[in-house]
Amino acid sequence: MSPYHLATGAVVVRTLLASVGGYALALSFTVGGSIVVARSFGMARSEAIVLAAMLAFLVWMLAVLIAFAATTTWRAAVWILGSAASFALLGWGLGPLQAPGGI
Amino acid sequence: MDKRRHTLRQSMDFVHTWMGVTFSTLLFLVFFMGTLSVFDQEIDRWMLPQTRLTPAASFSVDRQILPLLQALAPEARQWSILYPSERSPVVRIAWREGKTFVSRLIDPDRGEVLPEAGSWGGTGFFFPFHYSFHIKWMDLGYWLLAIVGIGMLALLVSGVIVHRKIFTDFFTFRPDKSRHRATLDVHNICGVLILPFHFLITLSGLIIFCSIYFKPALPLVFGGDAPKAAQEIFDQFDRPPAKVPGTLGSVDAMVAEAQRAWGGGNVRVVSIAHPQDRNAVVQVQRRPDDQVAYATATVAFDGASGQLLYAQKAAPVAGVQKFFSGLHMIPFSHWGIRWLYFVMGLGGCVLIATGLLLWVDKREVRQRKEGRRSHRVVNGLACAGTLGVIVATLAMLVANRLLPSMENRQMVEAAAYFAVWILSLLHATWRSRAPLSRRAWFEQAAAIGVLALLAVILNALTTGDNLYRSVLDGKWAIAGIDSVLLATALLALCLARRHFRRAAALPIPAGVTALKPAESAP
Repeated sequence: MSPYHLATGAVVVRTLLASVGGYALALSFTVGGSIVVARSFGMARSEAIVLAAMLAFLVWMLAVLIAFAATTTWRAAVWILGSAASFALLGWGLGPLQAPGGI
Repeated sequence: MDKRRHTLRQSMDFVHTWMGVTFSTLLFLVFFMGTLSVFDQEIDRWMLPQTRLTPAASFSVDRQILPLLQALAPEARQWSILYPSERSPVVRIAWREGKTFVSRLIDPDRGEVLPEAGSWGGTGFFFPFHYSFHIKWMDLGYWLLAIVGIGMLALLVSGVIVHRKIFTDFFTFRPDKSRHRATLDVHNICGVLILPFHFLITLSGLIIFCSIYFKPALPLVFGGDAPKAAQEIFDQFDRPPAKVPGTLGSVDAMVAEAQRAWGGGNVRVVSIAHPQDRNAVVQVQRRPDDQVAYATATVAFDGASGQLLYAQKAAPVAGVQKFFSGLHMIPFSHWGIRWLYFVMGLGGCVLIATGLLLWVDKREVRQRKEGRRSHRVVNGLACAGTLGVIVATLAMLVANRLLPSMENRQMVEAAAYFAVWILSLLHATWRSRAPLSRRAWFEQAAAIGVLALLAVILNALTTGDNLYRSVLDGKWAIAGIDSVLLATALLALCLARRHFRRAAALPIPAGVTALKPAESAP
C-alpha cells in the first residue's frame, strides 16, 4: 500500500479543485495575465489574450498537480482558489482593455 | 482530512495511477483517431473510391465551380470552395442550408459533381472523432477533450516525477523477464523516448481550441467590445450585405491577385460571402503547405469589382498560436514527417494501452486474492477501450466496402462502428473470466487481423485497386493504406497465433508474477 492515502471526501474535493478549480484558475489567469501584459508592455489586447490563454493550459495542469501534491486539502484549496481570486481581482481592478487606437 | 506528510513522488504516483486509469480509454480514443487523422485525406480516397482521380492540370472557379454553386445553392449566404491539393484531387464545395452544412465533391478535370459520397470518410468521421468524440450537444465533446488533454499533460509530468531511473530505463527492455516487466519497459520506452512529442501534441491540440476554452474571458478583457473580439483576435474581415443584387466578377482573377500578394503559393479555400449581393466579399486563403505555421494569410476582395479590401496581418503572438496549430495539424507537405507523426502517434497509443494494462494486471492479482469478480468488468473495459477501438475502425472499413448504395449510407457505416464497439465490450467482458483474462485480448487481436485482411481483399474486389494495381497506377494513398492494413493483419495474427499455441500447450497460461509495490502503481 502506498503511504499516500486520501479519504473519499478528500479525493472528491481535490478532484473538484483540479478540474473546476483548475479551470477557474486558468480562466482568471487569462483575464488577469492578458490585462497586466497588455498594460505593462503595450501589447495589443488581441495578442495579450492569446499569449495568456496559451500559457493558461500549463497553469491548469499545474493546478491539477498541486491539487494532489498539497499536504492537506485545505492547502490545495487555498493555493488554487486563492491564486484564481488574485488574478481575477487583478484583472477586475485594472479593468478591460481598450481597442488598439482607442486610448 | 488527511494530515499525514507524504513525498511529492508518492502524490504524483497517486495522480499518475488514478488519472491514468480514469482517462486512458478516452485518451486512447483521442490518440488513435488522431493517428488515423494524420492520413485522413488518404483514408478519404480509400473510403470514397469515386475520388481516386488523377490530379487535374488546371481548374477554374469561374467556369467550373460558380455555375454549379449558382444552380445548387442560389440562396446560400456563403459559398466555400476547398481547392484540390497534392493529397486530395477533388474540389469540395460547401454551403449552409439552414443549420446544416451541405457539401459536394467535384472532379476538377471535368467540372462534374461526383456521385453522393455515402461515407463520411477519414475527414468526416475519424478526424472529428479525434477532437469532439462526435458529441455536439453543448460543445460537451470539446470540454471532455479539455479535461483529458489537461489530464494527459499532468500524466506526463507526474510520470516523469514518479520515474526513478529515467536514463537507465531508457535502454531497458526485458521481454523475457516477466510479462509485467516487459509491459512496464514498453510503457517507459514509449513514454520517455517520445516525451517531447506527447507533450507538444497534447498542448498544441489544446492551443488550437483556446478560443473555445477561454471564451468566457472575453467580456472581462475586451469590455463592451467582446462581441467583436473574435474578429479582432483572428484578424478577420467582414462586410454586411447591401441587400441590393449584384454580380460577381472573376474569382480566378482575384485568386491570381492574392497569389501575387503572397509572393506565390497554393490556395486552400476560397469563400464567398453573400454571393448574390452587391457587397459580396471573396476571401482567398493560402494553403500553408510550405511552412509549419497554420497561417492562411487571407486576402479579401470586393466580389463585384475584384478590388482588394483587406489582407490579414502577421502578428507575433497570433503567429505562435498558428505555429502550434500547424505543429499539430501538419499542414505542410512532407511525407517523411507525416509518417513520423503516424509512428509517434502509434507510440502514444502503445504508451496509453500499456499503462492501462499494467494497472489491470495488478488489479487482477489483488482482486483474485480478495476473491472479487470485478476484474472481469475492468479487463473488459480495458480491452474494448483499446483493441476494441481498432476492431470497430476496421469493421467500419469493411462495412464501407460491403454496404450497397442507399439512403443515409454514411450513417449505417458509422452505426457499424458503434455496434461493433459495443460487441467488442460484450465479448471482452464475457471472455475475461479468470484465469484466462488475456484470452479476450488475443481473440480481439485475431479479429483485428481478419478484419484488416478482409478490408484489403474487399477493396481489391469492389474497386479493382489491388496493391499491385494501385502501386502501378501511382495511387499511393490506396497503396499506403492497404500496406498498413496488411502489416496490421500480419502483426495481429502473429500475436494471436503465439498466444493460442501457448494456451494449447499449457492448461492455464502463466499468471502474473509477483510484483514489487515500489515499481510503479500502488
